[in-house]
Amino acid sequence: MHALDAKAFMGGWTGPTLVKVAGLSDFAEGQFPIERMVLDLRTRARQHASAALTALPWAGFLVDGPEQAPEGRPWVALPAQALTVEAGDAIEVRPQTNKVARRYRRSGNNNILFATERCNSFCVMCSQPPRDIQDDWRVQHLCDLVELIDRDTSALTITGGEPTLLGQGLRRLIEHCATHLPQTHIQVLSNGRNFGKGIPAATFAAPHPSLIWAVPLYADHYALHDYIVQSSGAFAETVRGLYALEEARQRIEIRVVLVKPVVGRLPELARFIYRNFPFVEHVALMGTEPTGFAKAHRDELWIDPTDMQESLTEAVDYLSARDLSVSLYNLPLCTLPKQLWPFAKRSISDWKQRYLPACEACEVRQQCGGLFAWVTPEWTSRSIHPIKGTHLCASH
Amino acid sequence: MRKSLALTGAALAAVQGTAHGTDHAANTAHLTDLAIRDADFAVTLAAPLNVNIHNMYASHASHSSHASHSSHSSGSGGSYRAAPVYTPSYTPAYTPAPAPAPSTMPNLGPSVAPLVSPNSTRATGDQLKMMIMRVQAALYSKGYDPGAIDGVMTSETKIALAKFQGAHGLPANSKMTTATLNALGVALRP
Repeated sequence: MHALDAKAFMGGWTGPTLVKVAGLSDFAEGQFPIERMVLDLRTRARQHASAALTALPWAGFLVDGPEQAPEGRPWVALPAQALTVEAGDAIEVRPQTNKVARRYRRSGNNNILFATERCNSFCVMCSQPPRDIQDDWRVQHLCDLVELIDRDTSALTITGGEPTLLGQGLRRLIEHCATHLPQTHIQVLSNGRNFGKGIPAATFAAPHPSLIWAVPLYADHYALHDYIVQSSGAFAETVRGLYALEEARQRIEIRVVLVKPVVGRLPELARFIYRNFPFVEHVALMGTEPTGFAKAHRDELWIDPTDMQESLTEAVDYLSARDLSVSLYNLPLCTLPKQLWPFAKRSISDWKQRYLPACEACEVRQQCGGLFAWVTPEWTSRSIHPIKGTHLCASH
Repeated sequence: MRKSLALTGAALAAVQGTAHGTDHAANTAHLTDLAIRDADFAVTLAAPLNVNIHNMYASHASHSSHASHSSHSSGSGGSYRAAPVYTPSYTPAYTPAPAPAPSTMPNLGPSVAPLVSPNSTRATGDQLKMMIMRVQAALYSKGYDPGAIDGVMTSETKIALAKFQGAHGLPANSKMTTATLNALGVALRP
């Protein structure tokens, strides 16, 4: 889930630079310092950009070719189709490697702040396999990035790795979000284990007005959960962590990835969640992302969504009947019984989501979250088919 | 805050609901429940862009040259509002073609703080030029043609500004009033 990057042509940069791409309206709004923006000269607006405009202390210029950049100023040009960068996006220009990485997309529906590559779990289906490296530098990097994110961004996800491994760095990041993005919903993907191990959850009770912790729980029994996350003692720590978060008056979502062993006890897990964690705000039941470690464990993990309909329905009915809000992520509508459609969310980030040829003729495609871009036939449900002649209202 | 508003609203709705019979009340209770849940996800609407900020650009509409701004001999001359106590320690040495080096623009010098303090009621040449450029950029991005984005209030810019004002129910006076800047999405911050 790293931000995408691409080789680019550039000149005049002295070091890695995180900048916001400014269209004319961004310049007009004056929300961001000119020194931290590159003026987008790729558009037809170029003809209107006078010497007076380009003489402002821009960090640089985004151009189609070096001849468009003002003499002696930093410039960057992206090859066609290499990387889509639009006004409002934040990019990192890295002259050492002649690369540009996109760190924030204005039009994106799911921007992330990648906190760390380290993790204290080693989940069998991890889509972002961890690396044990020192990357505390990311805290400052992300704080810089947060300052370049649009104030009206509706949601951001802090993810990793395990973000709580940043310790006070995570708190600093959340506080920085509170300062610069007080209206943005911040979601932290954390396994919660550190809260069970003596780090008080209150440490992270930074005063962001809209913060929620999304904590994975895979079973009602320690052995299965510990197997899935490949860490002995993890279940107990996560359970304690959930109570610690509740005690610190934090908002909590529980996430369940629907791999085969988990689906086998899904109704039991639903009962366990309701009986032990009735305070959680939301439960997300999520299809597996077929990348990272998941690919190596396909036979152990894969279950066709068609074959989980029964346990999925039982779990969803149980939770929703008890007023716990439930969502289904990453599951195409055609693989779900129609009664579960209202729970299905378009959860796959737009940049990694696609449809299959069979979806062309589908009438509910607009409501359907589709599939991960890296889905292969062996990760594709046998139920994928265009839905036709159905009443389009999914709320009944 | 958001929650308390939603709860207050919900309580009021519930009171109304009881007055309209039980069916309605049940319905209202359901809506109340939804409202409470929704409060967690609600986005607080931002206030209008420029509120309680003095607009020192509002009277500028017809200056294509900034030379006149360097004269402070008459505190209430022309279309300026009175600015009797403000004494600039800075001589606006505005050069029409600034050097391209990033560090030389805006060239406000060490006295920048008093110039942008809330008490200052006049824009310096550089500030005014910047504001005109931003207005031109906003006009351009909204589909109007202010000519070159050069910080000069040209006749083209004035016509574009008046057209924009007319289309947004504002007095078409080509002035950078606070209402006009709000409609354009141009913030009045220092």
